[in-house]
Amino acid sequence: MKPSSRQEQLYAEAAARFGPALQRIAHATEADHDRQRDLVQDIHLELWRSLALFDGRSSLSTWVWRVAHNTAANHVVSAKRRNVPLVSLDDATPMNDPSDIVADFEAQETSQRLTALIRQLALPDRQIITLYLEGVSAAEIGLIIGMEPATIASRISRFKSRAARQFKEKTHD
Amino acid sequence: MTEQFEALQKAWQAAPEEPFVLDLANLQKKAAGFERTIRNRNLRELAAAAVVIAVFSGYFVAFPDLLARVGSALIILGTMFVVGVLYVQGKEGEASGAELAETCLAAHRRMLQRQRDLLAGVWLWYLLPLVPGLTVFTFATNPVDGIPLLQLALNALVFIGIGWFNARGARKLQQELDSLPLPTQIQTLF
Repeated sequence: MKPSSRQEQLYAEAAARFGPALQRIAHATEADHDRQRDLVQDIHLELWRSLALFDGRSSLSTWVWRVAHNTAANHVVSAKRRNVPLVSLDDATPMNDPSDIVADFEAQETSQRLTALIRQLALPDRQIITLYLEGVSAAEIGLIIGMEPATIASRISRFKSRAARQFKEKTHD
Repeated sequence: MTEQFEALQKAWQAAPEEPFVLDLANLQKKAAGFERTIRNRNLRELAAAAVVIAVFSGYFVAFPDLLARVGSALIILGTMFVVGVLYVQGKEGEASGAELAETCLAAHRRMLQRQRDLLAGVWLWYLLPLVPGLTVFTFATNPVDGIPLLQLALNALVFIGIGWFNARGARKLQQELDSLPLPTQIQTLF
């Protein structure tokens, strides 16, 4: 199938807007560095292929998020790369060293510990939390995942409770 | 607490990334590579079937006994049937662009259902077609004064074992399906 210039334009826009986020999805899915790179390429490939069908009935962001997360989910299932059993939000091993996290939120270790926590999660919790961390609204997450926003909000709230146990309460909060 | 979660979001979004070069020519090459991988997989399955068909075609010619020839012919037909099923199921297994743009729950559910059905169907689509031919051929190639019970028992054990493992896999997938949230009426993109 010869790619249309519209498809290429859409892809260029999607890659520019969501490129770093797509890498973070791959990072949250796959621990192995080489397979991460392969997954990033696969996500971009599937995104490009799928955009031939995009007709604007949804926003580009909803489309991109769906294709990216579904490709990542296929990667996990078809490669059977479950190095650790996947768990629900309530059973995920908490992040360690809360004092380090409180002391330095933006440290790379925070990001790494967060990624390790997210990799434990089963679908669709992993997808929901990843989207939440990207700043996507509960309403749009609901559209992407296929769940009611209230259910999405409830799962995000459980994640916050889980993570909040690791944080010291700030007096002005 | 809000501040802490905003900080978590910032830390997440600030994760270092490797540069990814947008290269349409490479993407097109990779797409062609995917199609080549699928073609090669199909060719491997065809090659394995061709070996089985060649061997039993040889037996058909070499054994003048009617029972042996019927058994060989049934195995050849059964093998061709299995290859056909593999081809059709392989085609159905490739996620289209439309399917990738489904809601994540729907896509995940569809993937698990497809895998569950594949495993649950092993008995029907992959083992049963070969049973008549193997049974007849076993009778034909064993001494006429005895029922080849041992050979038949071994065949049955292998087939039952394969069927059992696949059925167990299908049950696990069903459990995973049952644990998924129920689908809701969400805007479809098509």
